[in-house]
Amino acid sequence: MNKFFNSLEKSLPFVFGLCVFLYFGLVYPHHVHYQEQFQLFLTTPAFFLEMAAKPGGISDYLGTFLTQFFLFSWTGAAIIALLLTAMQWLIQTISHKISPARAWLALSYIPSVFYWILLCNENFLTGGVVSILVALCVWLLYFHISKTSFRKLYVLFAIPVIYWIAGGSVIIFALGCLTLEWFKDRSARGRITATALILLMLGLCFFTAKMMQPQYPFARLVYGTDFFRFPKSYPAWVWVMWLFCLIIPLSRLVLPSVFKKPQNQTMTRVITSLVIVCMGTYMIVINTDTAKEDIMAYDHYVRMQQWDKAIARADRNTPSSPLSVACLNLSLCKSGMMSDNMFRYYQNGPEGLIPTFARDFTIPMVTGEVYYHLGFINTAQRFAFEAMESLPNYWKSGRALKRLAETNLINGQYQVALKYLNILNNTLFYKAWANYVTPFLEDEALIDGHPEWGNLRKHRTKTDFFDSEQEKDMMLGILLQQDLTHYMAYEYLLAYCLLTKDLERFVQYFPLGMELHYARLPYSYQEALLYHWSMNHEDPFRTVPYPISEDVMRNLAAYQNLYLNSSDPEEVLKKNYSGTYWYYLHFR
Amino acid sequence: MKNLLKIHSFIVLLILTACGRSRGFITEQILPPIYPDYAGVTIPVNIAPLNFMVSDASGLRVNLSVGAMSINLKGRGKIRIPMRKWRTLLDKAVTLEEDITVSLLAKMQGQWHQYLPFPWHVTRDSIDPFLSYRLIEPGYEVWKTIQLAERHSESFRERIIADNQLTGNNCMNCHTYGNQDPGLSFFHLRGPGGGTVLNRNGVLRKIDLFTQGMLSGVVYGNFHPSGRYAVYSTNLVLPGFHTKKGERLEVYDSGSDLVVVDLDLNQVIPFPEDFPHDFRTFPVFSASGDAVYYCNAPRITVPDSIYHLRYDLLKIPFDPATGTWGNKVDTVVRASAMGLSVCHPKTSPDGRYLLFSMAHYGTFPIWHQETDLWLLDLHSGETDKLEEVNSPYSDTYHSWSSNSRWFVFASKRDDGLYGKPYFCYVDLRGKAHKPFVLPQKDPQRYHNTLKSYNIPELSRGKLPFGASDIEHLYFKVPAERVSIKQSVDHE
Repeated sequence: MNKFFNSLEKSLPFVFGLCVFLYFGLVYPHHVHYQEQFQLFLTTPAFFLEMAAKPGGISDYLGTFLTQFFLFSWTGAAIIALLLTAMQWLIQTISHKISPARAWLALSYIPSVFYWILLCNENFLTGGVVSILVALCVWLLYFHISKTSFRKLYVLFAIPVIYWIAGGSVIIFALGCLTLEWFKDRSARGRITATALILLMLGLCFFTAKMMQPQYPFARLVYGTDFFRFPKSYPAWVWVMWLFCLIIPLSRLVLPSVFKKPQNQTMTRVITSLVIVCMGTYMIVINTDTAKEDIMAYDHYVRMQQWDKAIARADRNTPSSPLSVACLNLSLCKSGMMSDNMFRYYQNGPEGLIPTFARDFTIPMVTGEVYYHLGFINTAQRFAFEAMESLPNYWKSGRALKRLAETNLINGQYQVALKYLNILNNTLFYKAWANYVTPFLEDEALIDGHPEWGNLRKHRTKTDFFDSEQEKDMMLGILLQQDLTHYMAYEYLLAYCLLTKDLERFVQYFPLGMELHYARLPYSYQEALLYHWSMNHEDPFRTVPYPISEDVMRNLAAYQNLYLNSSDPEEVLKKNYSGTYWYYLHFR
Repeated sequence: MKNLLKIHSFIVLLILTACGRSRGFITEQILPPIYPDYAGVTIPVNIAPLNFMVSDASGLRVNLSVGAMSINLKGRGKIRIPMRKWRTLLDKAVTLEEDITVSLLAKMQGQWHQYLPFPWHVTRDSIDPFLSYRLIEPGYEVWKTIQLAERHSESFRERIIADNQLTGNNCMNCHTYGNQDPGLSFFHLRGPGGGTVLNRNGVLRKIDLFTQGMLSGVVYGNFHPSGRYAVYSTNLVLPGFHTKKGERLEVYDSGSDLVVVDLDLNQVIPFPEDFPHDFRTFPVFSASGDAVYYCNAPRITVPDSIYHLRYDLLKIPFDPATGTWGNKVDTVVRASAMGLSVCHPKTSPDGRYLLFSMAHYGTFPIWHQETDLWLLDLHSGETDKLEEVNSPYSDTYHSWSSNSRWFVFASKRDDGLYGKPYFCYVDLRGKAHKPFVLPQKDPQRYHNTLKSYNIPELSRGKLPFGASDIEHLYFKVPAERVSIKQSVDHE
């Protein structure tokens, strides 16, 4: 039995790592992508010096270094799995150094599982894991110094070093060593001296940091590393995490290492393992935010221009949040399917077409994609800039910088584009793109011939007017008027009218699409036109002047019949007509 | 002069190549492609070393010489001039009244290139040794980090004097000196704990410069030479976002007016009511303090008519003894007649010049690429369009040095977006020389940074406060209130 448990315990770290890997690779891949897009790791010495100038900044630096690989979700999942497994190994090894007791091995998984739960929140950053790992590594080295005076000196000198590298995680090391010294040195004098020196050194670190970096609030200097994306929020969970890292190894000082009855030891191993697995699984499940993962997925597909994947995802499970729906509608439009199919999916009004600007870093990034593909290059540029500027931790975004370079290139602002490209040139994964774009600078013919940028140049706004969130239809109208072959502008203008249920304007704008030469009238247009006509004319099916298909006419007749003669038309019509514009018009 | 430079460069090149490494160079008949563009600039005797770089060079050999003194420098792509040698070089140049000659060999793609040498004209007219500016990303509506920084322009030391991370992440406006005196300055802190921070010899006060009867809180301002008064505009500011390429942001006023604030009595002296309800903004006192220059435009519908919004430069008397506005307004520059709009007038401390910027329309020239600086000689009435100074991009936000021989301004000449502080020398004849950018220890800094240097202002000394003082002021000190001066008499 014990042999079985021993071999199981040896394989547990691998099983744990595999679980983390599969979780972030399969369940949470777009959370991994999300992390990458809101940071930018530069290979320049200046970037390192800038990061390293703040306590805990080196952990942030290493965290951003690792996070750049999150561009590929499986690589990101592997990195997270490695980090959390390393954390478990360190806790286990430190615990073993304090007191070898196999019965309590499962406890060493608690910090890693807890950090896994924290990482379910997209605002917990990789740098935090690195920070704790640094502190634990240095704590592990402590056990390799046997001479008391050297050990004490090591602790004193390591405190400022860890503080500068890993920020507040130094508390794990300082208090961990202090507790062990208390157990080693039984004299009151020795204990008081050790306590005073360690606390003094900690205080000195915080005080010196405030002197050197007066621009940071003191609380931020205590945390040092940016555990959380919002540096003004100081989540208590970080303290809980530090506490786990501290008390789990130290608990070996009080927990029994040998059991009188071997079956008690086995029982302890089984129970602690089961409790941790069950509790951990439960906590991870309830902290997994599938709604956010869904939005992030759509955003990722739009970013990568994987329109078919966005549509396929919607086919599996229709999205409902405005951001997801906006991404879906953009994907449908880019695939030439919007005017036929948009009402087959859940629509939540004009916010699901072009979401309103908000002063944060996610909404403008998504909405900017819509403006970019429409040809509102200045607006797309503004949204990318605002999104990056809204990042609460003052970091830069690779995705936003790329978009800024593109929009400046399209607008002919080559010097600014070059500035951004030079920055991207100092990255691992954007460098190739920057090198690809650089020859386009100043080469008008090359840009005009580019399938995306050339097309956007053709379609971008040529007359100057001010952006207006309240008059998006007017903006789309102006864009379309200057180029009546601008398919996206036409589709978005009409979709806007349909979503705002403004059929009068829809009918007014509809003829603008003459030059687009549709093979047949898209279904949602047929439905809207026929419905509008039926509201104002007798015998509409015979007199309607638009090329409406027989199917649509039949459907409207049946729909009207059920609508007028049912006590609960919404429920009755849902089964067969929820994918029509009429259903949206009446019940959304 | 050109011949002398050629002979000199020949000798220098002999020296540079004598070490044997740079044999076989290609002679270029152009100036070296250095960044920043320091070729042929006039510099003050007290400026920090003009470090520079050549972007594509893998090796640089530079000789700086004046008289018998010669300094040889090497670098991979950047040249950093040692401070002590630089000081000696500048002193020598001033003593001998000679230019510094810069000769340069650059290794590009494995081949050495010899470029035409160029001079640095050194003047003994020093520039004020401190410079303050706001570091902010050139964004639209959202901001995150805003810092007010003070830079010692004789070295590379930079100090943060206010940081919005310490003041609840609220906006803070640019820092303005009175008489280029570090003991007299103000800036506005926004947010719940905000107010106008007034520094008088290191004693910091926070004043809420808004009270009933005012259009808004105060925005653009300037000190009276006595330091007792400050004149401000009150603006209802609105942003607009252009959709056409190349245009970016428009900031305009839906209403604006002027007030003088008596900083001793905390009293607001409103602009006389007997003038038309025009847009009035960018006020500054004359050097003698007996008048206020400001920009004025007839009230029109904005933003619909924004392209027709053009400001003229006007002048109204002010009596500092009684704290009263005059009752007669003179037009100093009728910019609207030229199809232009005047902004940011700044009088030189000696009272001779008025420096202002001109744009095609509107009241926010920093976002207008066409914005140029113009210099009005108040003695002769002549206007200089400063063609030597201006660039195709926005040149504005200027400030004088206390000796009236230098001014600093924010220029977007490099890329049209990121502003940097440029210094310009105005000689005794009133001729403005080619400007140069504030030197940096690492000349690549301007390439790497995503910050703009906003509203640079020169000062004769170091400011007597720091970021922690501002944090304390923001959170701990209640703002003083002001009241409207009840009986306003005019001349």
